[in-house]
Amino acid sequence: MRKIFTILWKDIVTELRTKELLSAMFTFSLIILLIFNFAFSFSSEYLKFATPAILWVTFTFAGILGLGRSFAIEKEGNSILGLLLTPVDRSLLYFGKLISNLVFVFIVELITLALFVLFFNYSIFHAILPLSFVIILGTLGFVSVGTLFSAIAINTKLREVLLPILLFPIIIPVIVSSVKLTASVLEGNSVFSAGSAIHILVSFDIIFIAACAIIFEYVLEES
Amino acid sequence: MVYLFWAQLIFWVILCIYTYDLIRKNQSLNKRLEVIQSSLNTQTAEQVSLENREAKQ
Amino acid sequence: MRILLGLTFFSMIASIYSVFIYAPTEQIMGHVQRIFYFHMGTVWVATIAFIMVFISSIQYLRKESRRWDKLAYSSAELGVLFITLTIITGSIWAKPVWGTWWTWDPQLTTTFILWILYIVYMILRSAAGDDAKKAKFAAVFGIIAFLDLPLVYISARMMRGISPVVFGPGGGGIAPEMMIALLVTLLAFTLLFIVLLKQRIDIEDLKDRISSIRLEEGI
Repeated sequence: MRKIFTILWKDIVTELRTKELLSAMFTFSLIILLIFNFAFSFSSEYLKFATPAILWVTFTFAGILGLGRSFAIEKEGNSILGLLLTPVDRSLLYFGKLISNLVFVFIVELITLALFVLFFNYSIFHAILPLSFVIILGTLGFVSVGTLFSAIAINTKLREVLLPILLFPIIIPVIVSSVKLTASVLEGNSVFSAGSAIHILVSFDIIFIAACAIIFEYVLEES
Repeated sequence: MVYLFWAQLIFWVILCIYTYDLIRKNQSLNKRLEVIQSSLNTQTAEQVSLENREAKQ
Repeated sequence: MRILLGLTFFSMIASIYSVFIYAPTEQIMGHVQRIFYFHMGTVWVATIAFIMVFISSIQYLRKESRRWDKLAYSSAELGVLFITLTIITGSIWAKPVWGTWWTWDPQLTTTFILWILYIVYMILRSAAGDDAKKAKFAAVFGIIAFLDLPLVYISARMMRGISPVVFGPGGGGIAPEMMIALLVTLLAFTLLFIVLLKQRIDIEDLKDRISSIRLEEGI
């Protein structure tokens, strides 16, 4: 547990020193919101249907920007070897990276959500608790696979460009069920009212966190 | 009937192109392997004859 | 090998015969229904291919032997070929029967995503760099992609409510002659798959031999 914390702490400290990744992710999500604003000319009733999609497109696109860089510092400084040489179970390395990615993505999501409320004059406060529950589960889903694929993508010739191509087809179940859940939660329903969406989301999280934790060491060997 | 015809046509065309490509690749690789091996053989043969000559001298 | 080739050839002929002549014409759809047999044949082969990608990917990660990687790569390529054929024949079948080339029905959606996933698999291989990376990254992706498929299917179902029965000619009962024609076709396609797979692996073997000779001799 303390070892996970060390990796987490290392990433956070490096990021806080430069803040470049967070500010890039944040600016990108701002731009996406702006483009959505221009792309649809919003009337408020239309907004109700578009909100879940806008939110999740923004979350995943901004998230992928951060995920793409999550091994870049290690790669450029050749310090993955250093990570590998630490006498730690490899799956713990995965969890360390997973949590640090989660922290960054959550921060960006929180700001995005606030800006969304501000820009689009759309209240989410009636459903803030179930909504954050959905966002946490959905983010866990795409970051869990994203962390593994980020380690793959950074070691290929295409680098970060490959990451969206690898990740998006895989996380389709997450996006589908998160969008559906978000829509239902914003209408004031509970998370269990959207049919099997919550089951899909939870099973995706469990299956892929377990699978990625096991597989992660094979990817690290090749970096 | 027209649809059946087109479905069959496209199916067989794609399958044949793929199969042809497989066979062609296989043959060209085989040829390359032969060329390399024969050039190796002549090399070793030349070496052997050279060594024989040296031994005689 | 020769026997296998002969068997494949013979069973393909038998399949063509049973599909076009032996099987009765379906009453509602007419001759168009005959596309269905080859459609099922291709989707069957694609399924076998992707299961093989999954199994050999796991085996590769465990044993790291080139043989498993070759098997995974070759099956993936054949899988992409056959799933492409599935989508094309299915689309041509759907046009007269459903009145549209494409709908976002759960089965179609899942097939489409399956197709994309394994094209990404090929892209990953070509982008990965050296052989060890190629094999290992592809194996990882092959495993994750396969695990993802049931969830993709369930979520595609959820998006569209409950799906209508697509497979089975017209969703109704199936005549025994049709069943036989279908089984013969599946057998023929399985044999075809084995033959093609063997050819494909042969190519990889040849490449390996050539590069190992070159390495030894420093050419």
